[in-house]
This record gives sequence, C-alpha cells and structure tokens, in this order.
Amino acid sequence: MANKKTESEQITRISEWKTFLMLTVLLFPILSLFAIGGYGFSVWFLQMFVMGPPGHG
Amino acid sequence: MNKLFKRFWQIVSKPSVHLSFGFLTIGGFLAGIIFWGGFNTALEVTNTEEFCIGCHEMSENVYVELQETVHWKNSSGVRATCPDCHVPHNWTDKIARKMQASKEVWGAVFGTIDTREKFLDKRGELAQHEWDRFSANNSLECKNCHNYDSMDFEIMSERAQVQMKMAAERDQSCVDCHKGIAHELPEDMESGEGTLAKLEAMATSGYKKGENYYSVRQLPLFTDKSLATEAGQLNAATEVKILEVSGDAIKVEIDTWRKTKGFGRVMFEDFAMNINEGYLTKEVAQSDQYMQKGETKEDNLTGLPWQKVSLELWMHNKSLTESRDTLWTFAKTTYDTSCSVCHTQPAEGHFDSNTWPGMFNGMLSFVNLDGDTQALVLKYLQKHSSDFSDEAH
Repeated sequence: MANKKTESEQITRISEWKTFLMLTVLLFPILSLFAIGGYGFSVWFLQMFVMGPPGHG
Repeated sequence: MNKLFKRFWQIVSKPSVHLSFGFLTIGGFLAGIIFWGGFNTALEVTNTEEFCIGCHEMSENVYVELQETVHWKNSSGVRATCPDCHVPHNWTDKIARKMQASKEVWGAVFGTIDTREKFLDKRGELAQHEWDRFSANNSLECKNCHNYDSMDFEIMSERAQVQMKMAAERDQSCVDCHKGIAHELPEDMESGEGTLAKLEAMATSGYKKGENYYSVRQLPLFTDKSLATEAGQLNAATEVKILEVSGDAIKVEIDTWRKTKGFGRVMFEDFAMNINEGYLTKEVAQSDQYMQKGETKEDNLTGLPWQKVSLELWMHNKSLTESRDTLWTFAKTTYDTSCSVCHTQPAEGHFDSNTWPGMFNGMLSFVNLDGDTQALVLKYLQKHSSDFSDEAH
C-alpha cells in the first residue's frame, strides 16, 4: 500500500532520463548490432550449408 | 538485479511523466540516425585497404604480391584495392562476408597463417574459397570495373581476341581463366599433396629382367651403373625394357626414333611422329657407345631424315609401371578438369599427334600444370589423337 505509493513516486525526472539514455545509447544500438550480426551469420551459414556462395543476377 | 529490472520495466512500460512525447520521438529518431551513420562509417572503415593490411598476414603476403601486378600499377592509373575484389558490394552479401571474417579474426588470434610457410601451405585452400565465390557470382567483383561490352577486341592480340570473344558470348566468369591475376598462384594447384607423389604412387616395384615398363614421370638417365654421369632425360609414359637389375640401378633399353638433323638429341616414339620420349645429352647423342643405329627413313612431309636407334642406359630402380592405363586415367582427368575451365576442350582424337604439341602449348599459359603433368597430359593426347583413334575427324 504505502509501498506502491513510493514506487510510483520514485519515477523522477532523473530516472526517466537515465532510462531514455540507457535505451537509445546502449540497449537499442546493441540489439541492432546483434540483429545485423545474427542476420549476417545466418546468411553465411546458409551459404555454407544450403545455398552455396552468393550467386549473380 | 531482479529489482533493477523490475524498476526499469516499470518506467519503460508506462507513459513518461516528465519527458514530453515530442522529445522522446525526436530523441529516438536522432539516436537512430546517429547509430546508423556510425554503423555505416564503421563498416566503411573495415572496407579500406588500411584496415585489410592492418594484419601482417595480409600486408606481408598478398599485399606485396599485388604490387607486382597490373591491378596495382598500370598505364591508366586506376588501381584495385583489397575490398574492390574481395568484399561483395550487395548489402546482405557484404554483411554475411563481414560475419565470415570472424574466421579471419580467429585465424589472427591463433596464428593460423602467421608465418610465410604456414601461409603458403594454406594458400591453395584459401584461394579455392575465393575461386568458388567468383565462380558462383560470375566474377561480379571483376565486372564492377571490367565489362565485356566495353572491350575493344580490335586492339587485342589475335589469340586474346578469340578467347575473349568466346568468353563474352557466354558472359563467362573472368576468374575461370584469369586465376592468379592479382596474387601468386598456389604452388601446387592440382592437389594438396602434390602431383609428384600421385604419379609416384602409380609406380610398381620389383621390375623383372626382360619385361617392358613405362615411366610414371620424367626421369633422369645415366651412362653408368653408379648413376654418376647424366645421359639425358626419359619423358613420362615412355616404354623401356629392363636389361639388368643391379641394386638401386637398372639398365634399360629404349627403342626410339630421332631426327638426324642437328645433334639428334630428342627421342621420339615412332617414325615421323613427334611424340616425345625424352632427350639425350650432346655427348651421348653423338657417341656410338650407348646406341645401336637402325634404319633411316625420310619423312616426306618435312623432308627430315629419321633414324631408328636402340639405346642402352642406366636409371634409378624406381618410378616405372607395368601399364600405361593408370597414367592415362590420371592424364584424362587432369585434361578434363584443367582444360574445360576455359572452354569445351577439343576431343583427343580431334588432332593428330603432330598437331597436339602446338595446340597444347598454346593453352598451357592458362593453366598451372607442373612439368611432369604437362608431359604426361601431352603424351596422353598424342597417343589418343586421330593417329591412334578410329573415330574419323
């Protein structure tokens, strides 16, 4: 009860800024790199085992 | 930790209290732009020559070799850098190639090719990866600069014209023929373990006196039992008759023909057929000590006198085989794989045995065969030429 009140009170300007920066500067860029890297790896593995080296046309 | 995540989720999952909607949108948008710009810049950095030769494996091997070639320095002043040829330009393929480079990072960390020797040992395998890639994408990276449509065949040499026109018609992959255009070729392209070993493996042992055998490769001939004085060289797949077996040495009889014009050093298998059986040193060719001379005939076509001779010389007690069949099988495979790379190779029976040497030598510059294999393949072609084949041409 009292606990709940303090938790929502805790969302201060500072903590929102921190969260925002954490998301935009760290988390999303890292996730993007993982996604691109994962995509690259999966294409590479496919090339190795399934489709062969990239073709033309 | 768990508490931290909970708190983080609490903030993220609710509308913000203090930061405005506009700020969050613009902030996220800008961060996205900055990220993508940074990502591409970093990607471009890995796509520069400076980056490639940052490792000594690249800068001391392939980079040095490139500097000897036309792709480094030429009359037009355009040069190719590493990524021009070795990194696909298409985005997906490029990213896949960048991830593939994790293998190169592994190699750099564990020193897979950190010495020249290790590199040379591995060159065949590494080159094959690139050849496979070029073969699959039809030499796309070459064609980013070179274009069949922009080629002026008129200013090419006649021989180049023929080949390039044929290639252009089929939009052929450049690297099919132009292997080794920017770096040295692997030392032994035919196989990892060496053709010499392969040829030697076809040899039998325990040769019997009076029997006939065939050389598996080019072999030295000697005048004496101690194998001290060289008498010449026996060509691959050449018939010899064993006269005497004496430890590591064997005395052989070679029935052969030679042209009596000049020193008569070159031995041929049959009258008026330029099927090479080897050559003799000047001393041996001019001495009667090692040979018995037979009949002399004139070849009407060339007007050259041919003489049958029977030589008795010594050689090492090895590298002979009972039948030429295994040698021919090997030669045929080599001919089929090496020569079909550029075009449909002519059938063996398409030329006669005197035409084949010229044809064969004309094509040799496009393939990388060692001397023994060259000799064997040429002999195979000659022995299966129209002179010996029933198929009329």
